[in-house]
Amino acid sequence: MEDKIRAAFAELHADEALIDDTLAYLRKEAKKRQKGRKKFAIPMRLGAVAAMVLLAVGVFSYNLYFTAAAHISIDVNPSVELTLNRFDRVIGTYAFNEDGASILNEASLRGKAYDEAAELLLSTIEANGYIVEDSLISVTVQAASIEKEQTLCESLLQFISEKILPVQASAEIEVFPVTADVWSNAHGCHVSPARFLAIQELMEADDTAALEDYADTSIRQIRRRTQECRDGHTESNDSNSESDPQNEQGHWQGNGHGHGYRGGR
Amino acid sequence: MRNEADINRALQMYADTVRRICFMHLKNRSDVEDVFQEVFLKYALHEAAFESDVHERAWLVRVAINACKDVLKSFWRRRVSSLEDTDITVSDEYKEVLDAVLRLKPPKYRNVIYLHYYEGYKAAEIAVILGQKENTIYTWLDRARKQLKTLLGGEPDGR
Repeated sequence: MEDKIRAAFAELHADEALIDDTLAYLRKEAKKRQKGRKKFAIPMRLGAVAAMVLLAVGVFSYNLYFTAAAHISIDVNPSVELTLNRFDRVIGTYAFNEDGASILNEASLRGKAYDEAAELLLSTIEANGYIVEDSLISVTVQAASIEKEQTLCESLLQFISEKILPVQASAEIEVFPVTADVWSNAHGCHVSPARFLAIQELMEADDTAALEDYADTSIRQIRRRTQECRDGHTESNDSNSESDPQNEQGHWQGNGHGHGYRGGR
Repeated sequence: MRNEADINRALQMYADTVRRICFMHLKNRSDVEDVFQEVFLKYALHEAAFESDVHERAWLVRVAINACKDVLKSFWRRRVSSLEDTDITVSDEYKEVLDAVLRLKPPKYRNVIYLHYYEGYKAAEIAVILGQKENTIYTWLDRARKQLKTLLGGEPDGR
């Protein structure tokens, strides 16, 4: 039986037509695949180049967008800073003190144009009751070029004056540029550049003054203390010893607002 | 894709094997052609080297059986159930045996009978080709032999 089965299967062959048709089919398939490969060769190469260009543009744009180009520090008492990219959009925020941190928690500023962010920031500060009669709003700008700093300063002074003065006519506004060194030293001491410069002036007038002692003191109080030292007074820096703020405004182009410059550029 | 010389050599060596497997499962000529061409296309596209001719043959057998199974998955395709269903002409001497093989049910018994009696594979080798346990193949062979015995009115020899 085994032989019979083997012999019976041996009778079965693939006929010539089947083999020829299969060969013809395989040749056709081979040509089709070769053509397909050629057809895709150029588009694939182009696709790869396009993908690389897109990737490079993407990385470049990402770097461009997320590279810091300017820093605007606002010190009311909440003391905060906005980091802008070269398109004047906020790419980072920083709080120098707890009040600043709570303000930043309330206001979502990332991605916003700097004027929009500053408006939101100031309105949040105002809504939280920090801008009161005779408040001093110190704004510093640090940018890569003096021109850029000037533009931002002018624009911010005008903008903040328009927003704040109708609400608090007696508020004092100062906007001035600072050097990269001042900015970096201020950050090293965890105070805003405006407060850093104010403390430095106090330290020049009072040998016993230390930066740590005045880090949480408002700029206005620091300046009063400095003035007191210059005037020959040596009383404590206790805030209760504040004199009438209106009397001090002359130094900062008073009468409500001004654009001061204190040791920056 | 393999070169034409390689494909010609494979066709010369294995065309009959593939055709026999198709014979056991497929009823009409166009299905046979489809499977036959598909099997050799897969071979042409399989660029990895085979360890030996034995390995190559076993690979083609497995591909051919699976290709037949795939075709037969279609609901409306009727399975071959007798020699009359096929377009094959064989001498009267072997008609009875081949007809008995085609009447084996389930069709997987045809594979083991063919692979064992004609191709000369042992149960362990068939188990590898069909992806079954060796004991399963022994069972299938035993049952297939019994069916053949009944169909042919005699007793097929074991190996």
